[in-house]
Amino acid sequence: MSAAPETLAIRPPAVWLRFARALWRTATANAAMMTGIALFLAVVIVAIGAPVFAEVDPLDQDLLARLVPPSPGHWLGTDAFGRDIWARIAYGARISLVIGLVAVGIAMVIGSALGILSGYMGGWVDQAISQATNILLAFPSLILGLMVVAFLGPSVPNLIAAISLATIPQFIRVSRAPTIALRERDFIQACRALGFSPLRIMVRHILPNIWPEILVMGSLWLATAIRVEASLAFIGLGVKPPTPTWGGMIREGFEQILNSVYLALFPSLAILVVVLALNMIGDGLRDALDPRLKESKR
Amino acid sequence: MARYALLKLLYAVPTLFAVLLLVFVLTRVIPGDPAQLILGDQATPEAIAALRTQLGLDKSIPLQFLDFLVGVLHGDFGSSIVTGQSVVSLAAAVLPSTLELTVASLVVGVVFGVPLGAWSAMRRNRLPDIAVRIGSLIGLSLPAFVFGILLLVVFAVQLGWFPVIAPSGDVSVFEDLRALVLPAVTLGILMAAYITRVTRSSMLQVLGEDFIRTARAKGVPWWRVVRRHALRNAIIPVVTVVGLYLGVLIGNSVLTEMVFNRPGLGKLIVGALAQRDYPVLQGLMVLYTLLIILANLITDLAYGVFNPRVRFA
Repeated sequence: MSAAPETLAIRPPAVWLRFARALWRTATANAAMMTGIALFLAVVIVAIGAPVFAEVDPLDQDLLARLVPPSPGHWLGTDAFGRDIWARIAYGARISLVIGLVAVGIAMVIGSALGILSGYMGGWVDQAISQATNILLAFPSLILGLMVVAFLGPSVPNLIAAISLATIPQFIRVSRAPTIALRERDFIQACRALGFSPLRIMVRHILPNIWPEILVMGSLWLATAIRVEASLAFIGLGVKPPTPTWGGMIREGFEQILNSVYLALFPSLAILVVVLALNMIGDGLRDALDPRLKESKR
Repeated sequence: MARYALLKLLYAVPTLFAVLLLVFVLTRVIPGDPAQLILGDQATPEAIAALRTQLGLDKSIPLQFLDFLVGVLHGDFGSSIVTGQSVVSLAAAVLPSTLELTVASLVVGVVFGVPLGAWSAMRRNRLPDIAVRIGSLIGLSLPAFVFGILLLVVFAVQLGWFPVIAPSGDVSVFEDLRALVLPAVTLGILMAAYITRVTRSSMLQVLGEDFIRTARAKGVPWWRVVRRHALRNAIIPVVTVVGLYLGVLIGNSVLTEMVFNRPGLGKLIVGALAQRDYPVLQGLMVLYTLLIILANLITDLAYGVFNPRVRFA
């Protein structure tokens, strides 16, 4: 580890490559992860191509066909207003995915930036960021989301803000600890000796090394974000009706549970599929990451 | 032990202060004038001005925050604008049901989670392990309300084994416990899923240790090795996780109480939301914060009990 300059030139791509290879090995060897990826891709395709997969408009009411059980005309039946459940699930996937992906994306960027900053800078910067993180971590994401949305009002940007706020501390925590460990490593010391700016060291040399951990956290928290969004919608704090959301559909289905089980059943299954798929991917990613961690510890 | 507890309690003070600030800021950024919201569109300007004075809204923002802090320190969390009852009395009436539910689901989680996790670890990569792993993954993927609705439809509506709506008022202990079963299982499944996963990985780690092999080699029976040597060490991370998810449990009790129409803090929150009862919402958030901080404190103390090394740190 003493030949710093050469290591510098090859290190970031080497980590990437090793991670990519480990990922490929795990994905092909790990049936659960493959299933997870396939399921998640299927949901993404349905969400993007919602108008193709569901010919009916999700808001079209057909009062002559209320609470119809699954049938050739309506694959998954209709709700209390005669709206097609399949169309509403397909369009609802857009809300769930957009809110989840954007919220976790924002949290990932802000959280890892703060985490790396905190770990690399140390001192009062670290103190301030760590304290704020611990406070937010004490809160379950559902309660924090509920607080924020209750007061700001339910809209897509507010939901994204609420879920990001609840997720940011997770990314701070997951990026801070490895940064502290890396800070003392020879190749980072060498960068400093070469006079690289802290920003350059953090972005070019620390970030590529901790990126895999952040990615694992991302997939697991995407699952949580989608679950929290659905829970908020179920409580009545989701995107306002008539826009279809899975949580909102389950809420309506629950009110009609004695008349028709399908209303609550199908959106529940949709949530189960997405969250399960993401958890499978996250678990697989973590398995892929583990041997790499052991390798670098030696 | 007392010193340890006191130290932990002191650490909670800045957290509490920060959360109070957060709650305060959130309540002040609501669009519109609270007095106008309370009195409605028909109110005269004089009435609104009078209410603003009464609520202390005419003071400067820092002064308002001070008022709020002083109120909280005196146990005054505000009162409902709908019924006029104080938040403390509203919450005190339902707190026992929420605590009862949380504790019961914690018990369900530990009773199922620890043995399943240990069993899974001992049969690694065999059928029981695979079944337990898939089961726990599904358990933590299902939102609490989905599982709740499922149980409600099958066991309360279809089979009629349990009441659909929790009985209120004076009921026998048996009736009360019967109504508790489904909600506790709903929340407990979530907890059990987390506990199973942690117990399994922690157990796997411990089973690979040298002292396990030593114990086996000197002829200690297998079940005794598992119970006395492996499980005792494997349980320490589980305690941390239980504590960590106590907050998640409190959060998800909101959903469970909604589905089972149980009285509790969750129902109180949802009711306040529907009626735009902002003072109650604000008070309940402070209360939730206190509960969560208390849960974290109990976890820290429990950790000290299970892991004697911590106490001297």
